[in-house]
Amino acid sequence: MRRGRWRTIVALYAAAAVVLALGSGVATQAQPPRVLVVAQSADMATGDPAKNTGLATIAVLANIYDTLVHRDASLNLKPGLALSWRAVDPTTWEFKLRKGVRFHDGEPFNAETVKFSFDRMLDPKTRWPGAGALQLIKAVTVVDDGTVRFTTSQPWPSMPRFLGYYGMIVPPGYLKQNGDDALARHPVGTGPYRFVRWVKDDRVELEANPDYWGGRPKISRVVIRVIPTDAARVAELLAGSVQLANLVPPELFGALKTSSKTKLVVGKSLSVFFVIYNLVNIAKDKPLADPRVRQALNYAIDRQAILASVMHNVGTPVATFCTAVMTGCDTSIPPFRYDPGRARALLREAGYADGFDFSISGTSGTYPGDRDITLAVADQLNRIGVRARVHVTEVGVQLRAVLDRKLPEDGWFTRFTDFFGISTIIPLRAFYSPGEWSQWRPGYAPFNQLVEAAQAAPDEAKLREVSRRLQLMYKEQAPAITLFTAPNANGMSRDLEWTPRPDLELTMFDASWNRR
Amino acid sequence: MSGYLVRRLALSATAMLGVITIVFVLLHVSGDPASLLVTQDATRQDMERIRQAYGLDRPLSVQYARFIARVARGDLGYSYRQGLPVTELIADHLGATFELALASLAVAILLGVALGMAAATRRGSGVDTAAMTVALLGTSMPSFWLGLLLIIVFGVKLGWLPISGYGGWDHLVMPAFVLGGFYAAQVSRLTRTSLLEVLAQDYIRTGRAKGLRDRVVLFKHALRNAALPVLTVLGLSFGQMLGGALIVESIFAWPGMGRLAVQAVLGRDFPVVQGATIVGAAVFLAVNLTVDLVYGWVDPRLRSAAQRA
Repeated sequence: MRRGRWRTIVALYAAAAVVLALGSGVATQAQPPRVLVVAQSADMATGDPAKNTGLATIAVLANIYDTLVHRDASLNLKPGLALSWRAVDPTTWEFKLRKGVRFHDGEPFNAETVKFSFDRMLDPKTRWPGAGALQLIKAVTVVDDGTVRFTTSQPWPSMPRFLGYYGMIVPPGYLKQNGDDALARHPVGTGPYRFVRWVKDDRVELEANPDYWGGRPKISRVVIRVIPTDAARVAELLAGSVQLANLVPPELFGALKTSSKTKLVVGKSLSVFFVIYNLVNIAKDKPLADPRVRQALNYAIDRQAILASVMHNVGTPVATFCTAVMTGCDTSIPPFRYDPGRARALLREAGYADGFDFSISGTSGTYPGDRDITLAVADQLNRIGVRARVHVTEVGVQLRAVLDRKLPEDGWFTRFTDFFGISTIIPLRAFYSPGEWSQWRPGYAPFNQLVEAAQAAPDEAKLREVSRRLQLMYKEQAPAITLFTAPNANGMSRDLEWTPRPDLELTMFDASWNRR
Repeated sequence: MSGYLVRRLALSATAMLGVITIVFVLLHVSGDPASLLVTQDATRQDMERIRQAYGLDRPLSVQYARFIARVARGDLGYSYRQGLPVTELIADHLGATFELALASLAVAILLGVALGMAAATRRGSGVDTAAMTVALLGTSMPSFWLGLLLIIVFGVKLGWLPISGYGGWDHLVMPAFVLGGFYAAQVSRLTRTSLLEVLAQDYIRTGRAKGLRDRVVLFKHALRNAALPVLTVLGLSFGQMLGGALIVESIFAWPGMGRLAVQAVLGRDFPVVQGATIVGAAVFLAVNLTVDLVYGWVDPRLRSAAQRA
């Protein structure tokens, strides 16, 4: 009797297994998916672009909203909601707007909507975290229905570059009628995709906007899912249930490269890894006060070896604070070569033949490969006699110490990114003495003057020239151990065609299925 | 009984005030929300403006007093990061957490009690050894490892179950098994011990001697008496599950309270951290109170003792 019952149970299980197996077989033979599923590690914070500047938020909202200026995957400026722009005088930019554009709810787009959107963004009551980047804008004036002028408090030749990233245009009528919270929950823009549904911390669903001014997107439905664990994000790719996952960490590159279903696609990077020296009020007799010592540590680092061992060869050593895709970055300046002999010689020259103690504040899991890179740097420094130690800290605590200029360590490992793509912005934030994150205080006056000159450059030719001088001075003064670009690595399904953007926006307008 | 209830409620309220205070102090000394809210392109003025807007430039005591006053009115404030009411964010995540917790509790009970009973009724046999080995594996396997293993086998290789995300019942299977399996292991060991103790009692022998069938002895007499310690553990476990199971939620991209709370901690989104803590603590205390009351139902001796008191 008992044996009979067991037999029945086993038979049932076997039958269930066969059904499930057949079921899955049928599923894998189905048509290529029409819905494009994209996965990122965090959810968008809000549907209102004037409330947040987080990466995950902008990545999604760039599908729903438009900016006046667009940028292609190499960051070349292209017409967006504005067809053209010109400097009327050094402190006035005029934008000619696209005609006949409508928001997803039917509301017309015009010069008034541009003025409304910028006034709202820059109003302190809106609490937009990005307002500082556009603080030079003094006023926005409507010239006529299709023309708008921006007055700036000083000449600002790079303004269109800034408007290629910030400044999403929102619908004034919708906001007035439904309030700010409505836009946060249900975004309405003019972009290539319309908002359908948002399940917080799970997914945002989008559908193609058939009336998009740039033409109907090739992929009609996009779901942007939130999958916080890197391994699970990659597992979804391998299983075929997700077709694009961004910011894949180096340890998972291998799986993507070997699978027959997936590929690893590396985009251009706007991020650089540094170990920035703590030079806050540094006493003259300290080792790091001497530029020769600061250079020596740069010569001690074998960047290629770290890239090979930690980053699976994704990344490019950089000479200074900028990457090749940034405007004005002179790529003919060579990065510090790996030369431990020269490093030791410089230390001897500076009077530190026996090395010195050097502590680094690092993070773990904040940036791809962060902990391993920092440990590798410390190890390589130890080989030239510098007694390097790494203190891993929670990133919030580290940033607070940096902002307060109370970092207990001699240097901090970090990644600086400039989403506007201008070569002189990272030095302004990270190395210009009054800069928010700068640990170079009181710093080096000629460097500060050059940073100021770069901000006041009347045109891009001048910017290029100043930027080159700034880079040469940076390399000589070496306020940091400059490492390499941070990866912009994406796992993609083999049948998806899409070029990763340096600004990490997940705009799916130019994505398409590649049916071979 | 009502006096007992009032005492328990007062104690719970004090515990909650303690939790809120500790979280408030720890958060405010540990990092700066403004520096994490902005990108590196932000200026110092941006950060100052954000600090002022959220009252973070005020003395800590003022911030604390305002916060307590607001909570007393049932207002948990607005998220710094999302600009939406904290109560709305919690409501959005609580449902998913309840679903996962209930499913995991079911796994813990069914699997745990079954294994424990099998082991206790066949003490010293191969079944006992096998059941306790499974229990040992269940407690010692880290959930991230078991989770990823299941994902690879059932999600990637076999394709039977969705790997992650929130959706139909099939999305619940793996996370509930991983989360519930961990508690099932504890429950099975406890059920076994407790049942062995009861099975050695005189009244069980009497029951058997008067000719009751094994099943009646086990389910009607033994199990009910052995259930009390198991119930305590299940209550505590359920409370923990409702607080959010961060690792399981992260691996399986389950949009629950654990993830909401941890993202808020990492981003120093103070109002959300505080809101999640308050709700988490309240749920935990409520579950414990319910378990205490259920004791009386399971064991009439306790009910009469409470009445006498």
